[in-house]
Amino acid sequence: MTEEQRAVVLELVAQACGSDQVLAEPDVDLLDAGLLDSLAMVELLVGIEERLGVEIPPTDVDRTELSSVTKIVAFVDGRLGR
Amino acid sequence: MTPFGDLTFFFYLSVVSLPAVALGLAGRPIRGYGLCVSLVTVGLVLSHSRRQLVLAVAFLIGQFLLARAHLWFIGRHGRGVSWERRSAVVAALAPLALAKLSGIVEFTNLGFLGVSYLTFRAVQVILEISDGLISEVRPLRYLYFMSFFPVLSAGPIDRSRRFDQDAEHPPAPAAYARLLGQGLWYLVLGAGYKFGAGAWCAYALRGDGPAGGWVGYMYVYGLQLFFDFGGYSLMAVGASYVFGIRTPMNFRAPFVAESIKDFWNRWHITLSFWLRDYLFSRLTMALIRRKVFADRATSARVGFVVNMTTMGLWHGTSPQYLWYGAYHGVLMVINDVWERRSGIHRRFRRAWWYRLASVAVTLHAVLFGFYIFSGRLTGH
Repeated sequence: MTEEQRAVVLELVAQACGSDQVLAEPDVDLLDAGLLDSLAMVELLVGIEERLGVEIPPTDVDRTELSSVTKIVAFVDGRLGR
Repeated sequence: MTPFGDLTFFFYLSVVSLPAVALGLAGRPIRGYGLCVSLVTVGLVLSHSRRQLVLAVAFLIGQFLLARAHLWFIGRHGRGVSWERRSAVVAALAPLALAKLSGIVEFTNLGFLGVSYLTFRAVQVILEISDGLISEVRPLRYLYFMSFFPVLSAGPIDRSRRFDQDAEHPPAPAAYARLLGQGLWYLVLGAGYKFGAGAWCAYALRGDGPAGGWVGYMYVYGLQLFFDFGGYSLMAVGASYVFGIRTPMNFRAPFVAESIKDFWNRWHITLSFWLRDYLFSRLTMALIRRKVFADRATSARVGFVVNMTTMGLWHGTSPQYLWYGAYHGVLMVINDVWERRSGIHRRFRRAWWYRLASVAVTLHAVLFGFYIFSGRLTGH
């Protein structure tokens, strides 16, 4: 994943969670903290599709794989490699 | 024979479980045997009505052929042909629509909500074929997933890929023994819930029982629903474990939910998650992609109302179910607006008193919803 792509992912996560603060603590569990609800998840998936061209159907990913910023970046990285 | 409902079934369950336990403790696959038992169970449960039996068989064969046809089409023409994708879903939903609307196709004897559960499983397979997540549909595996007897009549609603994993990879003997122990416990606990607590609540709700006016009725009815359906779900999960399948749980302390959103992560979980993944997500994503509403939160709120109303109608087409669904749709919107806009929520959401108040408010909102569900409000 390029630096530019990484930046896009971080921007999308911050937007979906409604706060830039999440980027400061990339390992915080976003689901527990209530920052990543069903709308945020949907926004994230749509954003990844539109900005990075990676299509991720809603049931292709377990929510626990997207529970922190670090995990999200790793997940998208994996998909970009395909 | 009524699944988890009469002594005949429990006798049947204990007898058919013995070979499953023997296979499991020997570390052998249970799926072949499980499939045979499942098909026999369908036959026995529907033995009183030849028509129903024929319909059930036709349903299973029809859905299988539809899945294969859909897969074939995608293989030939790719996933981008929207009219075909939509037709496949509509076709898969057709039996449910017919059963609900016309009353001509009487499927209800498969269990109170049998056709609704089976149809949702079929639709899930179709949608995941469309997504490219399912690339093959093998007859025996499909049949096993669709007819798995512990969850036949009223769920929990499993997912095909997860189910196939469990069926294809039986646990080692020691792991199975633990699973068996857990399963037996759930069977006992579930029976206690349904035939003990649930039955007492049902007694209390009778005209001459202790639960008096509508407020008392509201509380006891909510409890009765939980013990009855929660008990059944526990037993279904327990029996699944005996057959080596880790069917997901349906309930998780629903009455301590701190918000309506939280409630739907705790009550009839498999239905809630199914609708979230196969209806809400897709609808909201489509609305956001096409920028139908200026604000994304509005898209989500429309999604909530459609999602919850569908949930209500899925239970039945009587007015009480429609209102129940719409009521929860509105509650979800209120919840969403409150969480996003309320200063009080932002400041105090971790405070013990705020959380306690949240539980109380959520509980009462939910209980009133059950009161609507019971039909008493709309005079049924």
